Amino acid sequence: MTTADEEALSDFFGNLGMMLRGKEGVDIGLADILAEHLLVAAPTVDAVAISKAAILKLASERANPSNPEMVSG
Amino acid sequence: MADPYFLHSLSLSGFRAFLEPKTFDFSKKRCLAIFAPNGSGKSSVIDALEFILSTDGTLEKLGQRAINNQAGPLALAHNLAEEAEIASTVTIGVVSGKDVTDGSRPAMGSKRPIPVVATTVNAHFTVPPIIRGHALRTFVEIHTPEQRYTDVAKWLQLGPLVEVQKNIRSLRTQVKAAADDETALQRVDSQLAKETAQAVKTWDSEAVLDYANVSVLAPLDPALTLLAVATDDPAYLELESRSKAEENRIGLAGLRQIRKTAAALRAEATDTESGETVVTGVIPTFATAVAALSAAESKEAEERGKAASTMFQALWKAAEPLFAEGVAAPDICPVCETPIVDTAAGSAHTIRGHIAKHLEELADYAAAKKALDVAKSAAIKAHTQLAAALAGLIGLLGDGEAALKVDLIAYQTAIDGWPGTAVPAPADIVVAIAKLLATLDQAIADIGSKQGDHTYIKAKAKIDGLLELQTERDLALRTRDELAKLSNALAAQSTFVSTEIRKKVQALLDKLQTPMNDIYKLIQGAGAAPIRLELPAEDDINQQRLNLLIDFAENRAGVQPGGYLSDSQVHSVALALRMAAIKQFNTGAPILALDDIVTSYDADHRRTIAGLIATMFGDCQILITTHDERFFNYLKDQLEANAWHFTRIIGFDPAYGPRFANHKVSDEMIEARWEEGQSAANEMRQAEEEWLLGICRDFGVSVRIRALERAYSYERSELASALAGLLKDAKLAPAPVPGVNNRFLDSLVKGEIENFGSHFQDGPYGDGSIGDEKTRWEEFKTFRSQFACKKCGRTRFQRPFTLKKPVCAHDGCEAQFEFAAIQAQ
Repeated sequence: MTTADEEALSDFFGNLGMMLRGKEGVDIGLADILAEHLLVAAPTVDAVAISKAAILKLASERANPSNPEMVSG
Repeated sequence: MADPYFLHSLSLSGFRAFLEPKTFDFSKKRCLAIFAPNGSGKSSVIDALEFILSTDGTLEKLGQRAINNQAGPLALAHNLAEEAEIASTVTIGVVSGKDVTDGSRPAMGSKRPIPVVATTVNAHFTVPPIIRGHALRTFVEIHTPEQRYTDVAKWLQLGPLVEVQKNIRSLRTQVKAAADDETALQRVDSQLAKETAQAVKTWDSEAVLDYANVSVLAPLDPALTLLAVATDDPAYLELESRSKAEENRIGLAGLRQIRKTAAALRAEATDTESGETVVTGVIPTFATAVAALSAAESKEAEERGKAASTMFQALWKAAEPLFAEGVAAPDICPVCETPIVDTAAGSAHTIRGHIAKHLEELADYAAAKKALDVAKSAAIKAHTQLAAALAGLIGLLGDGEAALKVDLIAYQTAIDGWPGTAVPAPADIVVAIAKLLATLDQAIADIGSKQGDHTYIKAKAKIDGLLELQTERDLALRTRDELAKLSNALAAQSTFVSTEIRKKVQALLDKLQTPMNDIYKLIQGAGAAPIRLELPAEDDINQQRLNLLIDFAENRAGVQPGGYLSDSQVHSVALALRMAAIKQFNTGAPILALDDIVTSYDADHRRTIAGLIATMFGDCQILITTHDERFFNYLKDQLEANAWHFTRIIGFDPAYGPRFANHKVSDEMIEARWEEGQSAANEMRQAEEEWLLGICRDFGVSVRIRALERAYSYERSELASALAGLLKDAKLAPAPVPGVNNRFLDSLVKGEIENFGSHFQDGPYGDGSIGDEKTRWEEFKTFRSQFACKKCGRTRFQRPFTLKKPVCAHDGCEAQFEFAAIQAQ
């Protein structure tokens, strides 16, 4: 990355992810998904699909909490 | 930081207007200004740069070739190049530090591969380095905010930020769609309609309850009524009880028990998802376990052979820490007290390797032994289960299945002998069990059909089906609710992320906005309203737009420049933006090609732009073409002569290409023309004009202020007249030129020289033959020779405002000007 900006983008995204998690009342499970797959300097080509699948899984686990320890947020 | 890239040379051959090869050498002077009238081929130089740097080997203005339109890359090559057998190519030399790299690109044919050197330089161009005057306004007036955003995002390398915004927006849309998706509920409805024979098509708890009571239970017992479709409902519990009793009464329970026991031995089913046949039961399980045990036994035997010295396991383990890496090894053997050097191994290092090898073999053996133990346990467990299942089925079979019973007992006896005896082949018994299962399935189906539709068994199955659908529906509803919550949370989080990214992008935009306004104000004056680069409002759905706004007046704040600024101001906005972006972001290759960029400006603005290039772009390599001579002269006035090469195209020959005359025409160049038998009239005119302009500038002659439209265009005769006037006022008279009576200066005043050699004249030089040219040139040189410092012989002068006569410009001389004696030429 040759951007003239002093702050490396990866740092920017890292800080953004932490700020998001630190917000009051935020859905941590969702914030984790965004931080892991989307708030990165070089997201994978299927980052959106992976994130969507993770969100659907999270919704499914919350709707059917047979495995309560897996449910976050 | 690596050295920036600059052009070292640029060569055109058979390309656009250039037929004969022409090379521009930037090794000594890295900047180039070309003046030429329209249609002389000057833009071909910029075209060459665009072509060799282009990814697809063409020029943007050529468009795409279509049938019979002769457009596209065909127009790259000079139309006579093929006939003249001149290769149509563009070549660039690029320098970074002291490293020079060359590369050529053919301008003919379908394959016009980009040279490596062009790719290398391209990698350092964040912003396209070529600015063409005719296309400048496009960015301000024609481009949509979306197109503008795309450009600026690329310049500022906003790619990852834009990508994140785009991805989150896409994710929001997809999650929202998933939250609104009714497919799971529709599937339940579809199944419900099927289960209720279309009596209830859409889930409605009351309707489903009504269907269960009226259509399923009432025909059996009108008193049996569910209060809710639930497994703990009293009516459901009663139904369950009656169903079981019914099964027992008709023998169905017994048949099902036999079937269940037989299936536990071996059964086949089809996987609903993959469609594959799945075999289950203790017979195949036992067969698999026995096969695994056999393999484990072989492996264990093999590893046992390798680890023949397992008896020394304790010894190797004990020796390992003594000879471990990094530990001082004993000098003598701890067992037999033989000095280590005298042992068969000979050294601690060899012993260490020996121990490692044996321990590794022991580890493999230990793993194989463990696997064998596991396989043994599995086989014994499967054997126990098989024996129990066989005994169960044998006990349940009646006289009707006597033959099968005998076979099963024989099989059981053979199985009981394991592991002392081999496992009997199960093929025959498998076939017999499959036959039994088929017979049982048929018998169960027959009983069901004989019972009719209204049985407690069927009623319970129906209610159970409804219960399953209800469970599925409840789960789908809860999932949808959770998804809706997540969708809302995602909207909130993406707004937060988008806001932070907007701040970041705006901060980056400011990095461009500030230098852009600096340039804009330099061109338009300090009072010019600043230009703002702004993202859309926070709540705007489309964030990938960039607005270019000005605060034109108090009641016209944040308006589009196109609607309020003059033609030249709009031009300035675009020029300032592009130049600022190139300077800001192309630091790895600070090259700027400006093709006719001042057409919209008046003389003052052209001079300002020349000044801007001199003051703000001194560290860049600039190539300028212009058809505006005044602008060309301003550039010459303001730019450093040691960095700039000025040249002009003095004519265009379709069978040759543009004919250049370097700004300073030397005596040798003129003589070289004559030696080739060619006229040097153009060169002479230019040389005389250059000298006249230079001496007038040195002498500080007075020139009349004239009409605005010709503010800075000095005619040759006007300059000659002003020079004559100054000489007269200073009482300085040039000596007559022998033979011509000082006709040279007179001819300048009269303007005769301007048409010299161009037309038939009645004047002093007849028809402009080479002989006349030589005569004329000798007169000029004789006349010129008088303008030398009498004291030091130098030819540069200056005239401070307070002096009437010029003085020598050399610091150590400063002698007052007097005409030198005529030098014999």
